Amino acid sequence: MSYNLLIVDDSPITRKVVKRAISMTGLEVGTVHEAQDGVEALEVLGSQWVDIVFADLNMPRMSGVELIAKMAEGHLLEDIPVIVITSDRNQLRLAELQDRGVSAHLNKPFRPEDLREVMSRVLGNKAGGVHG
Amino acid sequence: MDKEQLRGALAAAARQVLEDAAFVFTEEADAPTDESAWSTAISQVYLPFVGPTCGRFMLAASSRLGESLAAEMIAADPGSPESEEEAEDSLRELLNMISGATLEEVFREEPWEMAVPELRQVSPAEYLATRLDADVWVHLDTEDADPLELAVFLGKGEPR
Repeated sequence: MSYNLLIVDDSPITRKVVKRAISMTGLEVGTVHEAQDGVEALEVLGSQWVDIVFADLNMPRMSGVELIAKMAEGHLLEDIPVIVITSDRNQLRLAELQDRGVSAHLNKPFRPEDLREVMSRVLGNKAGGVHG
Repeated sequence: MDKEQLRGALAAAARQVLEDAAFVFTEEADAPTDESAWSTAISQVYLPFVGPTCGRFMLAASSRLGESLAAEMIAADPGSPESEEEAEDSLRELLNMISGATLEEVFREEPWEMAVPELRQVSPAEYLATRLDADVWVHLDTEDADPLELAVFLGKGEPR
């Protein structure tokens, strides 16, 4: 089984770093969609099949917090795991997001093995998790 | 806010982030006060924050260093079109990471917010003038002797 992914970050270099780290996890990847803010992410989620969302928090136009709230309103969080990848280490906010249904978070900068560990945990119940 | 604590947190966060994100090892050094230490174009990034204290972080580096940091971050060849294209974004993203790590250390459990970083190109003379207003600053030298500076302006509005 391959997974379709959505990477949401206003920084093109971070989207590349995340994409590269994912390629090192051994996960079978289908289509990797990219969005530079929450608005674009909702457009992708409304038109494409996505298995996992990787979302930044601080973005112009629509932040990751607002995106996650919209996903919760639309019951998308029940089916699509969201992994927050952020420089914002505010523990209060991260705890709130986990209460709201976010699957996991990673602080930037992260190591590929950190991403692999988080993805294994999040996908643990889906098709045997991460391979390789 | 204890400025010495803030300076220590900023220096430690910067060195760690540069090492982890861009595989660049740095040493703290005395800041040069004349323009000759800088190349003709300096990329200056600002990131405002609010919390128990408000202010803004600043990172300054040469465009050449921006390209080399971008190349390391995305495993591209230095001087490649890809690293040139991502040079400015690499500096914005590095300041984002450094600011987050610094605020976590100084504000701990207090609520705080960071804004989106913004970059502008300035001449060495303009840069040295703005640096005079900094409450806290850190000068780092890379292995290639390219300078990189970080500063915090406390309780200040827009950069002049």
